[in-house]
Amino acid sequence: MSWLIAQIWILLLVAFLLGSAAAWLLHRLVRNPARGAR
Amino acid sequence: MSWLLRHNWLWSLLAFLIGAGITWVLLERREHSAPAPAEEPVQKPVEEKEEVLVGAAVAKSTEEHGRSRKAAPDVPAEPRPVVREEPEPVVGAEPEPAFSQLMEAEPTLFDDVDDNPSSAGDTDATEPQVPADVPPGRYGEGSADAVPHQGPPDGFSIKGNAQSMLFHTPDSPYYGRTKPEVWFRTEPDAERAGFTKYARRPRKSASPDD
Repeated sequence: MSWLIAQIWILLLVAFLLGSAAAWLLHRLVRNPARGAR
Repeated sequence: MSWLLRHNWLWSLLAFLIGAGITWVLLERREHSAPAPAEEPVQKPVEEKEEVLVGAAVAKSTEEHGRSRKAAPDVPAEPRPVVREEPEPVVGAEPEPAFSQLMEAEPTLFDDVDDNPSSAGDTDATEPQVPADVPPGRYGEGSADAVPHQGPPDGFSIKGNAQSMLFHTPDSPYYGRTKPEVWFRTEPDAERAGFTKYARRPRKSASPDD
């Protein structure tokens, strides 16, 4: 049971990190596309 | 793992969105607080660096630093390149409290007493009279060993630093803060003793943006 809960927490953490990375990439592309195109 | 995702996709999506939202907000805030002239605070210190050399100039540069801050009030407290540098240690002058500069750079009360012998009787007990002919110090004729917390002998105005083997005339920027180990009467005396006159050496300012 506890392993299941740990897995869920890891999943949420990974999802959070993925969301951050996606937002960062998107922000970079939106604000200065020249740098993103490199 | 797919089972886990299938059963918790809503929570995962929520975490994804929260992460994205927080990151976006933080990035936006950083961008707003640091507007376009991002190079200005980098370039300013470079030109200030040229003129910063001694204590007085450091104070001046901090003023200018404050002024440049006022010009761009929105600039956040980001790590800036260090502007001020300590004076070169070559001179052998440790930073000292300001009062010792005044004591050594200017003639003391007791030096004045020597000039008018009429009032000498009053202060005889406090300060011994400096003999007219100073015995030569360890660097030969024209030099005099410095006595701690005592001004120079009459006619001796050049400070010698035995560690750096430099001597400072009163127009040297480090004259005030140099603790004399030996006094010299004239510059040729100091040079004969193997000392070199302190001269400001141009420093190369390292460019912070590379």
